Amino acid sequence: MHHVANPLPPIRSKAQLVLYLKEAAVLEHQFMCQYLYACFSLKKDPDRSCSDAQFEHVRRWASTIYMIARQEMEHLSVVNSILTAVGGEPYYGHLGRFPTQPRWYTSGALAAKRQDGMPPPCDIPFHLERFSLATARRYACMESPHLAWVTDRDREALLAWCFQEPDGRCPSIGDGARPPVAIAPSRLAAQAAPADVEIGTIQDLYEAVRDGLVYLEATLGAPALWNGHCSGQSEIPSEYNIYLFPICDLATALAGIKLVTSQGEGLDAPPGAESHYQLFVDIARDYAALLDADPRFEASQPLPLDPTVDGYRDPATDQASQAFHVGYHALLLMLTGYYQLYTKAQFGTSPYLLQALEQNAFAPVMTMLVRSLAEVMALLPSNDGGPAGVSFDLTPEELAALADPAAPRYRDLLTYLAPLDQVTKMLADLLTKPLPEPARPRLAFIVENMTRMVNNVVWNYRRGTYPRFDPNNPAINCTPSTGCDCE
Amino acid sequence: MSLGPDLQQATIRLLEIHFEGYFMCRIATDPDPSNEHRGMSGYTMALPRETRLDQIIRLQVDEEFARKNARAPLHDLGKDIGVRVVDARFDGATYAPAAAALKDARVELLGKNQPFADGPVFESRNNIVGNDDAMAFVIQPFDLRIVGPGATITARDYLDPGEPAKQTWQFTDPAAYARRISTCQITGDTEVAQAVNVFDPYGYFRDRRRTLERLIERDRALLPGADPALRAKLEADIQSYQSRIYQLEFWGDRIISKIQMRVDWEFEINGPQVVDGALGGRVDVAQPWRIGFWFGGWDGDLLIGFARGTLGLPFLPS
Repeated sequence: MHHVANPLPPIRSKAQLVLYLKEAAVLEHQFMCQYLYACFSLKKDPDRSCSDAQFEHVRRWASTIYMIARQEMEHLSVVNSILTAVGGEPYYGHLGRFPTQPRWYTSGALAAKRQDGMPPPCDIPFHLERFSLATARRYACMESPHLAWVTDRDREALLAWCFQEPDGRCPSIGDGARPPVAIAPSRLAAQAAPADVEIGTIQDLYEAVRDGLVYLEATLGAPALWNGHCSGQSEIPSEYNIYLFPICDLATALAGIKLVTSQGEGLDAPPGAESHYQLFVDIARDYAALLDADPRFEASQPLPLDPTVDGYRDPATDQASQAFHVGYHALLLMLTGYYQLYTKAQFGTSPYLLQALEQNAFAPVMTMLVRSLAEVMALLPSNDGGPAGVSFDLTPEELAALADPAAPRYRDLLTYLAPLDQVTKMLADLLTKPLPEPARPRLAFIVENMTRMVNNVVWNYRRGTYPRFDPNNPAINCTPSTGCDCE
Repeated sequence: MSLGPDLQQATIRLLEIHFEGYFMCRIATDPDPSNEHRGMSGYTMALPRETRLDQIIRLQVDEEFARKNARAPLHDLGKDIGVRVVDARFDGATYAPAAAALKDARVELLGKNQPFADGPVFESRNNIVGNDDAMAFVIQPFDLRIVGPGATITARDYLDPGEPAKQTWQFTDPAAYARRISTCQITGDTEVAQAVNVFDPYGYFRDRRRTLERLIERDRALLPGADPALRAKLEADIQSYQSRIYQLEFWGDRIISKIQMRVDWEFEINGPQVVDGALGGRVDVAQPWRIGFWFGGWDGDLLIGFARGTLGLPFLPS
């Protein structure tokens, strides 16, 4: 393999390590938002531009991209677990708005992947947009490792998609139809003059973190480096394609980084392993083949490009968008509080704030509020009459709150309860207003679930996890039936 | 009908109604939301021309539903959908009058769980009222009907008999409906393996993949001569088989482990209990009837499983 020198300054202090990790957290979070938005746009039924046969391709893509989004959450969790393990604070914010152009994905930064004689790479802005062939290719470019790591089979495709044509355009990933996006600041650049910091790719970022951890343990010693706490990273059954484990020392941290880079870029993965990059390449090829056979094929609904929270004119859509925003921010507060405050002792101590967060943040809020409400939004009208999409934008005040996990608010149950209750009331109120009929029963279901969820948060806070709902409780196992008494 | 003093003095013994059979449940699975109708990120899905994922536990299906939703190779496996009474026992032996009255009786779960579903469901709501990982589900509503040639038995259980209309999500304390939550779960269970005749779960699903691959080959061979309508159907079927193979490969053990899994329930029924017809004795409908059953042997590709249970009726033979 051709070795590409890491353009990033090597990590020589814990403060620098924390900076790099928070940069990684922001990127993983933004990947996840883009993938989720794309998934929300994918059709849920065949229609005039998506036959029964074509729909099965769409379904398999949805399954794959949802998995990739879950794994980005896993990566976000790994990064935050390393942060808390070294005594830093978790970070569940991002750059604030979409669209955004991270410095990591500018043409200049991506040129680190370029081998001699190749054209300049394309800028890869981050958008919330409906899924399309261009989107699939853009995601492949985003997840791609250095070209030195790419197989011959895929190199030609990546050259066509991810590098500029002679006129400087990048049509394969949707460039040219939209205004350019301003480059977002990087935490790393914030501490140095822009010219001093050569941003590489996310591969370089993780390699720098890995090398930095090894260096810091050797120079500071393990106790000084790992002076934080294990995160409460839940050990979720691996059957959901995410592999979480406690991170508390160099070995577990390096394992976490290896997991991230092998899943994402396919680095050091076994031959044939399906990295995110490889999966997007395959989906893009599949999509192109379907279009060749049927140019009318459309995999997704026309969700708006980069919607804002308060950009909808229809009152119902606006209210749903505002409710989603409150719910999404509530989720980020819950994750921040959980990762910041977790210790094993505190988890088992009354009041059971950590158990309240753990029991409700994941499947209940993520699936039954965030995803479910996003799907209801797609049944509501956007400003052009098409379906509406959610916004993952965060206000400066919200970002400031997420950047301060040590604040007393995170120890207060009301910090989490109030926005969940607010979402419930907003959605219950929305049900009293005119709505497209397909949206009504789905919204009613969400309101039921949120009503119970708010109660669950309080119940868990007071009493912990209900034993019958604890998969680790041995009392939930039946006595095996053997059929024979052989004694 | 309550027992008179003479019966109250007698020792109450049970007429045990044993039932079993295959059920179908077009259920959404994590990480899809509980009310997902198509199946986009979990391992279950509604394929072209099938009924949506409606979450309903169907102990019986009509011909049209079966024709629409029975996937190959269900018929070749000899697994017919339908939970039936297989015995009625008293004092440890088959009790002929009851057995005759309930011969092959259909066992059904009735009622609706709206807006969630138009029928009874395994309710967890992605860990909001139960827990998916702990297999802690509430079957809601629980409205049982057994229809035989000589008798019909109905029994309804309420989550809260003081508020019969109260739904699971309306409770603030899961302990309040704990009796209706599954009591335990187990994988690799011998009784389940015997019931569904699957002793090698990996081989069972390897065979399934081979079957699907053969079906794809068969349909591909038919494509060249097909008219547009047939071609569209064949292409949809081929892609459906591909999606089924995808799910088996993608989820692996998550699907495989369920074929020998069992989830148990047991509780005393607290609502109306009625017997119409003659069982060869007197049933005490005032005393709560006890029911115990399991659902398991789940084939997440065919969306079918096996149920077995016993309903105990306090009984005095004629």
